[in-house]
Amino acid sequence: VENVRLLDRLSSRKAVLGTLYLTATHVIFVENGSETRKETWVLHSQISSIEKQATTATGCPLLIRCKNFQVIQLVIPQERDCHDVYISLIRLARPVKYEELYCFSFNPKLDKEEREQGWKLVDLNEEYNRMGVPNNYWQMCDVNRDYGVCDSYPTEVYVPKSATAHIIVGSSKFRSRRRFPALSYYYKDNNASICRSSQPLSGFSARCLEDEQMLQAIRKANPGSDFIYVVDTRPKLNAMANRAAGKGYENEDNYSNIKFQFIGIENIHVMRNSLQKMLEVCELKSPSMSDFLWGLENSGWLKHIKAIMDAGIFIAKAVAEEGVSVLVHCSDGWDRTAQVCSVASLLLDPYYRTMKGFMVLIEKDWVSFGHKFNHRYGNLDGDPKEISPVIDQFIECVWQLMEQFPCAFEFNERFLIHIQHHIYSCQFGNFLCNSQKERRELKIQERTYSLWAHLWKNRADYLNPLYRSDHSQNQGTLHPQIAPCNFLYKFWSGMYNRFEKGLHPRQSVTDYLMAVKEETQQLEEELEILGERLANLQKSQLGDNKVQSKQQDRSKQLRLSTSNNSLANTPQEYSNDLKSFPSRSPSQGDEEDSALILTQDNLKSSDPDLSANSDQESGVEDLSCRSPSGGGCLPSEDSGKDSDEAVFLAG
Amino acid sequence: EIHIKEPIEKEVNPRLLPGELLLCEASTVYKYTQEDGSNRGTYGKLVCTNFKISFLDDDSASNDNEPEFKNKIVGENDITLQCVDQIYGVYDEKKKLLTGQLRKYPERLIIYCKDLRVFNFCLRYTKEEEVKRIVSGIVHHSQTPKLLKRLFLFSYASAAPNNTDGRNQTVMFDTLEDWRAELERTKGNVKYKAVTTNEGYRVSEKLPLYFVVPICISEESILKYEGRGIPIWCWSCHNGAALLKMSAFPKEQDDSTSQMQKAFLDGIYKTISKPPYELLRVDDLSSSLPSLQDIQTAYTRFKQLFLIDNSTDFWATDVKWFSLLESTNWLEIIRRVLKKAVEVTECLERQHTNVLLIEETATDLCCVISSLVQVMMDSYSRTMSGFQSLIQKEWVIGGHSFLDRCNHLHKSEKEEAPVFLLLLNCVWQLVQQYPPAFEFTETYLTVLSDSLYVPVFSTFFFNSQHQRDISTRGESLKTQSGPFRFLTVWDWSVQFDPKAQAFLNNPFYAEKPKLDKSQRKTARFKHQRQLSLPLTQAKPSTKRGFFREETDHLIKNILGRRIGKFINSSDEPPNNLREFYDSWHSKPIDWHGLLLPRIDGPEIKVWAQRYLRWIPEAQLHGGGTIAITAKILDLMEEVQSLQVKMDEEHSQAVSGDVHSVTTQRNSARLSSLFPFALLQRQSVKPALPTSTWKDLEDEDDLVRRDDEFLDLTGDMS
Repeated sequence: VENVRLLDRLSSRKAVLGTLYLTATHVIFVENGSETRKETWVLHSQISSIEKQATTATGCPLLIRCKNFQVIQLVIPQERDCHDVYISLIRLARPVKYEELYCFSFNPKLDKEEREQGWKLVDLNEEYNRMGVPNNYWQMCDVNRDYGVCDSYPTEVYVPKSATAHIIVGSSKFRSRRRFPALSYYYKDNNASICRSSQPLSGFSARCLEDEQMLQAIRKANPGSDFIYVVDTRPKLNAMANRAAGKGYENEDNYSNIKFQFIGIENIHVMRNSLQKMLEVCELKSPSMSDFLWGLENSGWLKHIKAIMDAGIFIAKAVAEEGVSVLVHCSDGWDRTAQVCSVASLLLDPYYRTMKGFMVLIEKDWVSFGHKFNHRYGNLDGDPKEISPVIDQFIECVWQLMEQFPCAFEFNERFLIHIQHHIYSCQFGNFLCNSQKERRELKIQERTYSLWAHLWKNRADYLNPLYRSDHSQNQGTLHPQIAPCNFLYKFWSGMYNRFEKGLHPRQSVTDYLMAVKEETQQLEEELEILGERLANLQKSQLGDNKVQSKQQDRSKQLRLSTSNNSLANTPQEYSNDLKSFPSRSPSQGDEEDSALILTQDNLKSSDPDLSANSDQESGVEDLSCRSPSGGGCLPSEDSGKDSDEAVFLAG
Repeated sequence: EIHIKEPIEKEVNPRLLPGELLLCEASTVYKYTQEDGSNRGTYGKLVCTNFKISFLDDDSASNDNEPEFKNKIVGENDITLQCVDQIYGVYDEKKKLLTGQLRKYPERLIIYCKDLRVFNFCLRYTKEEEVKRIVSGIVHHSQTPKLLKRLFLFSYASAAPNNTDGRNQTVMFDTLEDWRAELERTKGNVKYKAVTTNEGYRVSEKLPLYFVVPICISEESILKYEGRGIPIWCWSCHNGAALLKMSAFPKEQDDSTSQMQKAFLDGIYKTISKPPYELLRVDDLSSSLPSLQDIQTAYTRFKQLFLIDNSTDFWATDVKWFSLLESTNWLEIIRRVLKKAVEVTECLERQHTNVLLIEETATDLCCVISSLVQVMMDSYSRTMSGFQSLIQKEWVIGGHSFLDRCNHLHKSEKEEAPVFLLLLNCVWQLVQQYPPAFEFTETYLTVLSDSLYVPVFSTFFFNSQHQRDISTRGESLKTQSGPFRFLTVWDWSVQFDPKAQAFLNNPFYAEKPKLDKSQRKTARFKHQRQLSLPLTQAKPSTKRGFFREETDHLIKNILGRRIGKFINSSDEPPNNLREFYDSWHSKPIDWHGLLLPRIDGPEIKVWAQRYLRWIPEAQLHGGGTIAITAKILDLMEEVQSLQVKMDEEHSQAVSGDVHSVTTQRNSARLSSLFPFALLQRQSVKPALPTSTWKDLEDEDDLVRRDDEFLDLTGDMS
């Protein structure tokens, strides 16, 4: 469709004229501007709602809301065209079959082997071994190998050694959707563990011996403690209501040695409405203080985030400080339970605060334990009541923690935002379907690519320059305030307003450091080239090298600082550079992605380890050593010559 | 119940400044540690001097872990008399405000401070006469009207003559030369002149000795209405447009007087609207901004949110945090002030229009707006010395009534309004939005706001230059010691040792580049970019510039849109301001150019460092922005030590292990409230706070913790 106008939400006068294309996978808007032809790409799977508004003199407005919180306003001159677009988009945005999704056509030009490698990047077996299981208390059980016991569980789950197949099966029959208690995280320092399950089918009085034995087994697997906590993450009222339906919660009298605790996290419907309310606040044009603060409070969003955090903190504290194992459940044990278990693991184990660890964490607590990605994020057309921002909330919890502990995470905000984007994008196969069983049946791993491999390849982009693995803080449990108060929680405009460019601090300190780092890396690349050239030159000259070589040793150390000083003393020189740096507010979902691939490929061709140590130091130095004195001399040819060696040293 | 512990009989004497006199004291006072309701605390002596109220911990001698950031004049348990906000007495669990004469003496004393600390003293174990003396002493000296001469400032200045001289880079604006230099710096000297008309305060006692007016304004007109109706120059923008302020005529009953005043004003407007002067835009701040009353009300409500003396109440209100915050209206006032400053900036910068700010005395909101505009437009004002000079120019010499607005002398509550704090709050918004643009940190602003209440410095303790002058001279006629030489707050070494001063400097500050150098570098830069292309293996090389092209497109688009606006602007009235704001925000930032704050609701934040710093609940161990700063400082140290090492190697030509040198400060140990979390002693607080989750915590646990605590104090004493 031609002559479509794209409106800027912040100032409606800034409309641009262009052409709208609908393809099998994307909505593409290309601006008419003679040379620029800026393109806006939106994946169909990102579209959450399309709204056709009343026709005006200028044309027929179409409002597209995306799941990544982008809002696109188009004005199409002809009513008929608008209707066509509307109808087709409705169809395209709601695929009925998995095969229609983008990941089945997306091809990043990797061969079969690379694809397999990609899927192998995150290996849960390895992860359980890292945790320290199997051991004397825990073992892998194969009762679910054909999904015979529970179809939403993975085939491989860890249970206490003393829990026999009989107990497991018995317990599973007493649990909603047969999701029996299984290990989520094992804290090897003191044998305490976090287990997860669904609610018991206790009704008002029902009991199950096997289930009681199961909990007993969990307690016994932690010999240091004589009780376990059973954490029901629901509000008490909700749990009571479930009793009437023959479900409910554990009766402390029936189970020996449990301490029962409710933590009032609301259900998916409340969360969905809350997000909706908050997004309404986000869509306000230049909101005033009271619009914003009232809106934020009324949405209750941060209150819900806080509830999840509180739960995570409670569990982490129980495990790390009291040495008590915890069994967590909600109703079905796949939403709130996943949130809470993963927050607690994140607090307990610094590994999950690394990039790889975070991928593993999502794979473990969300993907493998049957979080219903398809239903929650509406990948396929389905019941709108099933949709809820469950993992979004978890991602936000992580962000809140990052804000509170800026040096404790290996990854940065962008990493979280891109993960959120891809949970909805269906560009990669990771988050398809509702369970491992479905994914295996669809042969996802043979037909699609893994997001983790993609992110891992571009990891330099997601590094938090402030992170240091050797830092004491990054070696133990993270301690947020035990009962964090509301003013510690912030509105995440980087996520919910990320497409509003006007609202952003465009260059955060972190972006700076990243740019500095990138710069350093480029300089090193250059040094390498110069070094090679010099070597060639010298080969032909074969001269008096002995005097020089002494100096070279010295310049090994000189290199890091002088080269930077001389080339870029002040941050504003990086601001040019920052433009070329993937910005935190990518204008288009998909373009962002392809762009990332592009930059990555050429940026990070060199040894990634470089960025881990040497760059950090020299990078910051540029910010700090502003004195021009150090920067007088450019890297000499000598220093170029031994760059190979220096790089090796640094690596 | 309180653990009654025999206080250790030990003579602890207060540290007194020169000129400071001990007025009254009371021993065996029990100071609660604020953090919970557990009645924990320490015994000590409460003293009141002519400068401060001070609690002297009986155990303090053994407390040898000195905090890294320490004020040399006001310690963690000191409250200057001017810093006391309100004092409450507790009688049988009921709180009563204490002012003036007392008939009954309370068993507990709660002191709320203007820097938002809250002190809780129990007097139950103190002798009755001592209670009487200390309570009435404290109330009398901190809450009742006072003569200017009784300010500690004067006794300090006569006891400790100030000999530090001139080393400071701050321009004081008390000489004609300072004004001329400022005119020259801003290239305003073609159209504006510094005048000496007010020498001897002939014109007005409210105006500074020297000030700047348009060249065409005659001496007679300045004298005519005591300087009212005269546009006074604040600052000139690079394009020649100037920011002016004018004090308005009070509303006259008499018709003929007001006619004459109107004619006079018309004449003035006429002269300054003609070339060479730019078009003039007049902004009456008394109608376009909230009144001082509103500001005072809002701030009073706002600060209440942070004055926490009871953690139960605190948790109860926590749930309603955002709506409480909103109902104070304080953030909205900040937003409106910032918005006004953006408006003024737009006139100056884009429309090349002079802006004349009008207010009754031109010394309150005029100061806020003109200072903000200068901070936003003039990068010099974002350096430390530039900012201090700005405060001198607009506020101290400009004639802001600090004495009345801070109510230092308790003369009249009606005059009280946190105007200067409002400015600091607005500047803080800018500082946190654009850290690299400022040479100073938020800690600097916090410390500056605290200095408002330290009567060792004269800076914030006069209403006008005239008052300062006569106080300095008048006194000296009687004494033979010569004129008083007051300290200025800008000499930070008086309050902080160099190590602590480092926290005032922003490590992220992007210093102005030398021009020639940067050119050389950009040339080199490009060269280098091309060179690194071949390294990008396999992939086509065009991709390197992808984002750069992208942004170029973006910029072109914006330019295109701006032109486009004139074509299809029919459906909406032109909104220059929004346009200006949006287009600035879509361009890359020049840290030394114009800086516009983001003023949408979500972007205005609470100045956490100033307001939350004493609240233990807001404390994160090893977290918060301080973690970033500490990290950067670590790295800077590391770099420095590397450089030292490098120099050594340079002379010896021996290679060594580069990576082994580091002396790291442990940022995990710092809390997010650093450098202010002084109420918390590490020894008192368990490494892992175990509070709330009350349902889990039984009494045993509490007892155990108390034991722990007692053990620790036992070790210390």
